[in-house]
Amino acid sequence: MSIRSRLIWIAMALVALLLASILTLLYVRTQGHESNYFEKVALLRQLKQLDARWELDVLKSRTGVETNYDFLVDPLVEFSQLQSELGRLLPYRLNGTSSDALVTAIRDFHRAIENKTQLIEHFKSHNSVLHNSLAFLPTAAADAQDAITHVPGANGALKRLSADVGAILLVSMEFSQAPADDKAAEIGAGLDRLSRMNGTMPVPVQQAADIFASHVRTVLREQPVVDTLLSEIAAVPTGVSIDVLDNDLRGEQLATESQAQVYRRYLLLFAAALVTLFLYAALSLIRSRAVINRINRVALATSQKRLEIATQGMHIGIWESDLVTGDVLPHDRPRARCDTENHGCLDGAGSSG
Amino acid sequence: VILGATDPLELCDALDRRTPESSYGRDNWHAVHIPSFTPAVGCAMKRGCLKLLLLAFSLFTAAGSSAGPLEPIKPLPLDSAQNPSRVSIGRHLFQDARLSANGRVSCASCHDLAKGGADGRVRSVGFNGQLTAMNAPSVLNAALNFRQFWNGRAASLEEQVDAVVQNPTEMGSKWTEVVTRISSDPVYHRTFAASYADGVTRANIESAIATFERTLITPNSPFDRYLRGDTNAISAEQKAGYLKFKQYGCIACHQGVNVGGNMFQKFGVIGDYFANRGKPTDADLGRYLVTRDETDRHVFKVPSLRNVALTAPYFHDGSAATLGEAVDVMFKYQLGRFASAEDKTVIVKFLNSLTGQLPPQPP
Repeated sequence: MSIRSRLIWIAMALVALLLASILTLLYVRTQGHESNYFEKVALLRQLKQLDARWELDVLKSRTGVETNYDFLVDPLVEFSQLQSELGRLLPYRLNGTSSDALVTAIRDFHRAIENKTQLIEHFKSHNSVLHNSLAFLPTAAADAQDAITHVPGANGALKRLSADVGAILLVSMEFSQAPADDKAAEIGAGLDRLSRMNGTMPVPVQQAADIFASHVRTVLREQPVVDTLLSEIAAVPTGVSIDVLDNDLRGEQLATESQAQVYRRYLLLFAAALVTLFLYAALSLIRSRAVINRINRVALATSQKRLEIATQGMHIGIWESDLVTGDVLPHDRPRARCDTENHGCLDGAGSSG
Repeated sequence: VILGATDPLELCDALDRRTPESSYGRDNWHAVHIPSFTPAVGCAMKRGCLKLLLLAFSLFTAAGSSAGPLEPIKPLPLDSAQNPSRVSIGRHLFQDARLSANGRVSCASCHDLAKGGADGRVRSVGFNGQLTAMNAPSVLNAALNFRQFWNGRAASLEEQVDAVVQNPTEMGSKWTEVVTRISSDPVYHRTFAASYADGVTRANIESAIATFERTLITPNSPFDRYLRGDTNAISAEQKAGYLKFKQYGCIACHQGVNVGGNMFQKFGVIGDYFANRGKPTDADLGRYLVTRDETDRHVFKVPSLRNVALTAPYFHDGSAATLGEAVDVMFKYQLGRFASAEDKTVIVKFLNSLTGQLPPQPP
């Protein structure tokens, strides 16, 4: 193979490689980021659902429907796993290759989860204390009143104390349902009346009253804390952060999809150009094949004619040699043919003899 | 009769007619369906008759006292499947003193599985003979705690391993040295290579020990068997103790599958434990040392009560030598209630029913 032919082959191979690369590139660009978009969206949905369930479990704990706090702890593990999964799906974004909005949204989400976790930790601590004191309050009041009734010849002050205990209990219960400053003030006043009687009560009454008062104070202290924590937990923008992430991802997916659409158009045009090129090559091939066939046919016909003549010549001879005289004379039939087709074609031969 | 009454005043009369010693008495206030109906409430109702308030409050408290599916303590899972080869490495590392700077203490030094996963000391002894800041918590069922250490400074068992290895009092090691020492052991080199793609690394050492610790679950305690339906698994006194445990409000913090270990709580909700005990230490600050949040001062992780009968002394300062003392402290500073000696006794008996099947001793 000549150098020129080799160069042509190399050039053709390079062109073919280039075309294949362009085709592959365009195809990849059209597939791009579609593969895990739905996975990401599903993950965000899972996170949102988990977050909503977490909040619901907080309310269940608050109302006493849930009797243990494992329900508020278990989501932490799930959150951790889902956040790791989110990090796995969105790693390039945190490297700063994505939009600032998306990076901010992811960081906001992590921060919101941390904040909510801390608030729920505090909620568990305060809610358990509040729940305990609230549940015990009626018993504590009953204990105090029982102690008073067991005092022989209880005086008016003790009877008023018993009434005060009942009143404080009632207001405390109201306060636990609907905390208000006036109720807190009323409870405070009642507790003051109890404390003013310190030292004047019999020991059993004093002890029972102290226990009752300490639990009332606990309710008074913990109820607003728990309510505030509940409000703060509800206000933590975990859901909003997930929505922002979702929107950003959707926007990015739309942009990616739009870009992929552009690449699809390029791919279509490129494919059309390739098909045209192939068609042209095929037509050229067909045409050259037809030319080759025609030339071959002509060549074959000529060859066949020559063969026929040669064959005929073998049987009839063109020349006849007189072995006696040594003369070479043309045969009659070739002579006749030469006469008709090619005048004088055997002249040379005749004269040579 | 009381539950059949629909009119609040009728209820009031019924309540007033009963005696304090009746079946509706104080000791059973939490076990009945509407525990808030006490004489005090009855009198208050006569004055106020706040039907809606009563109903709401009754529902609120009744919800917390239901039995059955809403039982606040759950039995431990019967199995804890972990990667066996990693568990095996972790088991060996757990007893390996090469984790400490001078090769004198291992994890097992302070967490003896034969002693309920603790060491029975008020405060443990570190690698150079110094006492640790707090009493060693049990490693048994630690995997079920929501955080590790008394002040919850580790979010996972892996973090806990890391903190102990580097703690200047406990093991005093540097990870580079630990990794070198462990890598130089051909057995570890081979087993780590078989279990972890990247062989002996700091993360893999932490992982192996944590994986082993996740197998240190103590299922099938008598109380767990009781929860699973074996009514004869615990004695009548222990059943009574469980009832008292709930009635007195211990259950408010010690609940869930680990009977604690799922929340933080201030030590001294009702009374000031530290002022009364005296000699305050930095360790008494609890979670404040982690968050520097004033509200976290004296706040600690509520410990699990699983196997509590084996892990004396109690509390972060090891100040209670017996379960009875610990129960007394809880009543005084956390619950703010008086309990009879009989009630405390049955509560301690109930706590004894929380001792489960201890994991096999390492070879």
